[in-house]
Formats: sequence, C-alpha cells, structure tokens
Amino acid sequence: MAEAVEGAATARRAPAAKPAQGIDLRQINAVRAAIQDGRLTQARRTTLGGNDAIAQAALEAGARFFGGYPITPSTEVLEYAARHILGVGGSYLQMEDEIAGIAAAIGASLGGVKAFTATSGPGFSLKQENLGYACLVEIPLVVINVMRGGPSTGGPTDPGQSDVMQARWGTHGDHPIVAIAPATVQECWEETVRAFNISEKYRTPVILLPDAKVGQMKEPVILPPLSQVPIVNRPRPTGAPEEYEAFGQTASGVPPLAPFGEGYRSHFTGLYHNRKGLPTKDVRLVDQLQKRIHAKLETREARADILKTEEFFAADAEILVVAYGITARAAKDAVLEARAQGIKAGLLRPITLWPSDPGRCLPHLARAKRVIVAELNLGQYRLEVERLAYEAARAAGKVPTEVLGLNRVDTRLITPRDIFQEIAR
Amino acid sequence: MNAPLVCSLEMPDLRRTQMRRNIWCEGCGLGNMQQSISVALMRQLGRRLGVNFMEPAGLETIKNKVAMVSGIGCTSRMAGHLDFNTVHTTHGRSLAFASGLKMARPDLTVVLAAGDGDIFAIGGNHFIHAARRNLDMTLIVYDNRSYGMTGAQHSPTSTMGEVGASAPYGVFEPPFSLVDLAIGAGAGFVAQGAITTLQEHQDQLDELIAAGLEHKGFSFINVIGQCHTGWGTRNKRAEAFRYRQYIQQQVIPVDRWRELPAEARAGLRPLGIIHRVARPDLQSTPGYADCVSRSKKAVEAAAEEVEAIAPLPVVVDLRPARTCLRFAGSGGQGVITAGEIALSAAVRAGKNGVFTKNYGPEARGGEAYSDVTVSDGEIHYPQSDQLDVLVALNQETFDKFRKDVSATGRILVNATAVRETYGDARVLASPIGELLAREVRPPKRELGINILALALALDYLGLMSREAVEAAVMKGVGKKNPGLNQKALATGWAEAERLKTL
Repeated sequence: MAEAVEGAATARRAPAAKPAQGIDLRQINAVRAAIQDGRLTQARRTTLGGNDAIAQAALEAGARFFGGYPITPSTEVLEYAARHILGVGGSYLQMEDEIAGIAAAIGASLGGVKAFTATSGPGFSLKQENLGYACLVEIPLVVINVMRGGPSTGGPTDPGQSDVMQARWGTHGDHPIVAIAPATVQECWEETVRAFNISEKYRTPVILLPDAKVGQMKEPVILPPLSQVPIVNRPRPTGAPEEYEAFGQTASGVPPLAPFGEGYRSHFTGLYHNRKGLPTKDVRLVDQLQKRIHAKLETREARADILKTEEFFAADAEILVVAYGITARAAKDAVLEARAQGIKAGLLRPITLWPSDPGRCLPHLARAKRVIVAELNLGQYRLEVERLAYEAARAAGKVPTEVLGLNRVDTRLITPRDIFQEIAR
Repeated sequence: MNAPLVCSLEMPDLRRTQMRRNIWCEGCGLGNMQQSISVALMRQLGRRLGVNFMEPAGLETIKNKVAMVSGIGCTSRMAGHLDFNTVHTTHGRSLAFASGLKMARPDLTVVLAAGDGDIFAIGGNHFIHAARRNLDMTLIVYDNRSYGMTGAQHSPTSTMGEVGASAPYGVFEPPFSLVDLAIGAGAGFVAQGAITTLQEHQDQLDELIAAGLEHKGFSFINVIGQCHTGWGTRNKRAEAFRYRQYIQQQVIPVDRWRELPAEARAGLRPLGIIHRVARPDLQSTPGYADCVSRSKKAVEAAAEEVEAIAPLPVVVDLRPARTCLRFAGSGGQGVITAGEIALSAAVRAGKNGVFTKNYGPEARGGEAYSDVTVSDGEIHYPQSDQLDVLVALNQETFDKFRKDVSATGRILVNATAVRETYGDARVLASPIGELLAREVRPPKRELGINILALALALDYLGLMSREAVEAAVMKGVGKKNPGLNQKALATGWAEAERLKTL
C-alpha cells in the first residue's frame, strides 16, 4: 500500500489549499473545528443513532439511491433510507439478497446518481465480488459495513471489529480500497460525507466500517446547515462525446465519468478494458489499467484527502496504543488514566484504516518502547501495525518495536481497564 | 411518427465501430439475436421518441436513451458490441444492476441480453424478483440449453439425456420451463422466439422484442438458439444449419400449440407472445406515488432547525465526572427505550450523553439492557463496569449486573419480579410491577413499566429534572399513548416521594 506504484509520480500534484471557509473534512472533528475558528456560525443540533447519522449523512452528501437487504446490526441504515430517500427525490430498493443490493447501487451510480448500500459481516462477504467490480470499473459507491463478530452468523447483535481484513482483501484480485472507521456518532456523519466525497472525486468504492456499538449508539451531534455540507461530485467529461474516454489517462489519474443518457456513450466491463472501456488483451493496457487504479489513490492530493489518523497524547508516548472505532474510546480513557499516573502513554487512532498512514504513524512507532494494538478480533490490524513498525525501524536503523495484541472476541467490549492494565504491565 | 418502412438489412448498424468483429463462433445465432434487438430498438424507440432512425440525429437520440445491461457468458458480450450506454456486469447479476439503474433513471430504456445459465442458474433469484417487481425493463435470453463460453457444460434448461462437458454420461437433472417460471413469478409479458433457418422466425423475433419493449413493465423474451460448436458437437448437431433445423422441428406457433391436447405438446415449443397482462410498472403505480408523497412529508417533519452557534468552550477538564446508568430487563419491557429517553432528557438539560444498547438477536424475549453515560464534558468509553445506577426489572438481570455497580452506586429493583436481593445494601426495592397494574392499568401487561421505572429512578436520585424527563417522554414514545405515559410518570414520581420519606 505504501509503495507508490509506477505512474503515481506523473500524477502527483500539490495538495489543494485548505478552504478559507466552510468545513474541511480532512480535519479531525471537522464540524467542531469549523465552529471553533469561526468558519461555521450556524448549525443544527440533534441527537442521533450512529446508523441513522450515517444514512442521514449519505442523503445530505447527495446520495439518491440505496440498494440493500436487512441485516443486523446495520438495518437502521436501510430503514432510514426507506423513510427519507423518496422524499428527497431519490429512490431505493430492498433487494432480494445482499449481492443484488450492491449490484443495484452500482447500476444507479452508473446512471449518475450517488448510491450506497449497507450490510454486516455475512452480507459483506456476499457483496465482495461486486465490490471488486466497482474497483476495476471505477464506480463511485459507498458500502457501509456495520461490523459484528464472526465467522458465520456469530452474534448478530454484538459488536466486533472482525471485518478489517475482509474490508482490505475481501474481494479477489489486486485492488486499492479505502476503509474508514468512525468512533462517534458525530464521526459517523462526518466520515460518511467524506466517504462519498472520496468515492466521487476518485471514482472508487469506499467502505465505511463502524462497529455495531458505534452504529447503534446514540449521541448528541452538531451538524452544519444543509447548504454548508461540503459536497464533492464526480469529474464529468467536457469534451466531444466521440473523444470521451471513460478509462483514459488524466493528470489526476481519475478519468471523468458521464452519467448515462447524455451522449457520452461508453462501455463498462469487469474484463480488463482499454481507455474506451472495451475489452482488451493488450498486455500494456492491462498493466496500465491495474496500476492506474492504484496510482490514482496514491497521489499527494489523494493521500491528503484519504488518510486520517488521530494522535492522542502520542507526541512523546513511550507506550503507544493503536485502536480504532469503539475500542479507541476505551483506549482514550486508559491513556488518560496512565498519564494521570505519570506513564507516558499515547494513542494512535486510524480513522482511515485502509490505506494506512505511514506519515503519521512511523515517527511514533519508531519512538515507542512498546506498541499495543487493541481490537475486537484476534489481531487483524496488528498485522498492518507490525508492518509499519518494521518500516519505522528500518528507516531508523533500529530493531522493530514489539507490537502486542490486546484482543477480545467474546462479544464484549475491550474496557479502559483492560487497556490500562496492558499499558501499566 | 411511424417507423420508416425499411428492410432490416438496410437499417443502420448499431455496432460500435471498434467492435464490428464479434466474438461469437461463425454461424452462431447470437448474431441473429443482436440484429433483432437492434431492429426492434430502432423501430420501437424511434416511434416512442418521435425520431427517424434513418437520420443520424434520430439514431443518436435512440442510442443515447438505451442502456444495455448484461452478465457473463457469450450472450452477455453483446453489450460490448452495441453502441449504447452498456454495462457488462458480473455473472448472473445483470437484472440487479439494471434494477438500480432503472430506479435511478426511469427515463432510460433498459434492455438486458443474457444466457440461460447466467439468468436461470446463478441469476435465478434476481430473475424471479425482477419479474415480481415489474420495473419497466426488457430481458432477452438466448436459451441454448448450455454454458457456451466455458465449454458446453449443462445448464438448468438442458434436455435430460443429452451429453455435455459436465454431464459426460447424460444430463440426469430435469430442466425447468422458463416460460412457466416467468409467468409464475409475475412477469407481465412473456414471449418466445427462435433462431431457425427461416426468415419468418427472424422477422417474428424482431416483432416479439419490439412488443416487449412496448410493454410497460417487466418483459421477457426467451430465444431458442443453438450452440453448434459446444453443445452441438457433443449431441450430433455440430453444424449451425443442422442445429437450426433441429430447433425448427420443435417450434410451432403458440395459437396452434394451445389447440393441441397436453399429450401432443411433448417435445414442442410454442413461439409467439405467450402471456401478456397490462398493469402499471413499479414506478407508475399509485402505491409508489403515495410512498413518495408520504416520504416528502416525513423529510419535512424531520428537518432540524438551524440555530446560531458560537465557538464552544475549550475543554479544560480532560477527565470530567460522569454518571453511568443501566436499564435492564427482558426484551419487550422497553429498557432500550428507557435508556433513549434518559439520554434525551440529559441532552435537554444541557448535558453530554451517550446511549448504547445490548440485546439478543430476537425482537422479543431474552435479556436486554441499555447504558446511558451522562457528563458535562467529553465522554470517551460509553459504558462502565462501575455503574452509578442499575435499574433491574427482573431477577436475571439483577443477578447478572449487580457486580457491575460501584460500591457507592444504587440498584433500583422491581420488587414484584426480583424476590432475592441477597441483602445487598445498595438495593432500593419498589413494587414497580404492582404499581403499574394498580395505578396505570395498562391495556397490555407491562406496557409503560419502563417509563414508570425511569421516572422513579431519575427522580429519586435527583439526576434529572421532571420537566426534562417529561419532555423527553412526551416527544418520544409518549406521542403514541400520552395518557398512559403521563400516568406512568406520575406514578413513578409519587413512588419516588414515598421512598424519599423512608
């Protein structure tokens, strides 16, 4: 993931300047940050469930189609869409199965309509083939996977973080993926809007990975007025239709995408295809296509838009906890307790899980004497942290820091006490 | 305007210039089917859109309005050949992709080309639901009773006893009738055509597809076709002409087929429009329109007010004091709702709060509980194993969660159900169940028990004002049954007063 694929260099551009006004979703706690420095002077205050916040954010980000299938603990997303999306001029279908849910969303997206689907572990598995289709065919799409435990049915109502690797490698073939794990209801809203914006700007599916606890918790939130929701739309062609290349090379690496029916007729296929979208067996074009869909997410601008990591007391941390989603909230309490007792503990919270964020993680991993990866699975993200710790050590010419796992799969949360004990050990 | 009277051979070529050489075997009937689809689309859409397909501008309009969606297999490669908005999707899923596209873009004419394995084996579920759902789409299936692209394996429509690559000793599974399946699943238009050696069958196919396109709603045209290079070579029909003759011998016009006694129909396949029922397509039904208008009202009702907001106070206290409550009972007692109301009351009182829930996979019964953490500052971990308050409505949850209450915490138990409290000094016992039955008299057993217990706990412990709690209840569940909930609140508060005097 971290290695730039050939071709990325040519597509590199300076990151966009920070917007002088409005909400910058690349910031942690973006709405609050905008209020604090006066960029936002009006807001909506309400109390929402995590899944409701996700569905509401989707509609406010411009989503106008939902295709899904009921599955605990994500069903509230489907139910919210069912109540609201027709009323804002969109549409939805409760499909016959999970596969059809994502397929319908891809179909709608090709029609030029922002689309999303929602599911949980077993349904996420069923969606994987079409998720790969969306990667290769470069379809803007947001897939919500509210994580429970697994494998198989497991505990449908109980929280888990066991789809972290499925999100990364669930579909077959080499493919880039963006996966985002919110930890609060406020973040459910902000990160869903960001997920849509990334998926549109970069023509790529984005996975939102809340765990069941975050999806089903309720918290007060502060939302911007509808007119100030930061919205990004997919690039559209501007030239003559006969010159349109739906899979062409552009400066950003992202080719424009025309909605159906406007004269820019094109072909979309899951076969390796040329710039016009037609099937090809030209080895050069096949190679270019696969490398481009990676490279377009590895430009400086893309990395600034996509990567997001919170550093919490990490600057001088000797004992570094890495945690995301609900587990990061326990980790914050544990770090505060440790600091109160004079232990130099800190937290790295990847908000974007995939791709990981070496720029923010490596310095802390190089400094830390001990790294604890706390997660509600048996050590999935720990593999990535180990890889990053190895990179950090190699760069610093040191032996890699020990990376320990703090894991729980008994359907209960990892508590602040669990993490503190591991810190203090 | 009427379609120009043009021989199909003189009509414009709808293929993409880069795709003039198709991928199919020489003599394959898919070329015939592609030609029929092209002809039917030009005639039918030309008529509907009022354009002349013999003029470049008219043809352009038609091409722009068509979306062709396909799955995987020989037939599905047709989407790549034709110069429409085309999507070559995953195996079996074309109808699901097309359904989303049609919902989002009702203005497009959505056409699907598929093989029998693609639609009826791996895509069977999508087929029956597309037929039932009745979106305005046209599905044309090339039924060669085998998988062609992967090399002559048998499909759900293969004839028993014939030989295929995956049925080396003969097909031993019975096939199903696609026509009957489509009608049974609710398709409003079902037709069957064939690729034979006769021009009349090609002309008929043009007409059948055009009629399917004209039909409002889901239309299905099954095209009996050959695979002489795959299935044919294994079953003594290796030449295209010979295979087409074989098909020709099996087909008869549907009118004649209907007149035949059932026993005489064996081995024969009807050609023509087999089933046609006029009914509004999904997006044209009054029911759908009603849902749209009701949803608009719901959106208006849910719109949050925009208020002026100033920079928030800077957080100084990193570890602010917090109060953790748990409402526990069996599923259906409303303990989840009680937690939601407590959160709402806390937020109304200007506090920060987090609500989490725990429940079983079943909607009723089983253990359920909700946790509410309230603070003036930021809350990270949303639960606690050092609860300040536990409200236990039954014995099981009292036994289970007693250990999670801090030494200085309080446990409000429903003494009607909790008989054994083990002399726990933190317990505050109240006959909540009896009070409910006596004072509130709910129409259904235990309806309102959550509100009574909530009012009692919050008031006795002085956690939130009565006004905030009442407002939270009446804005939430109370809307449905205000009288009952008012009584439950009043009973809870009265009981709190009584307990305070003890």
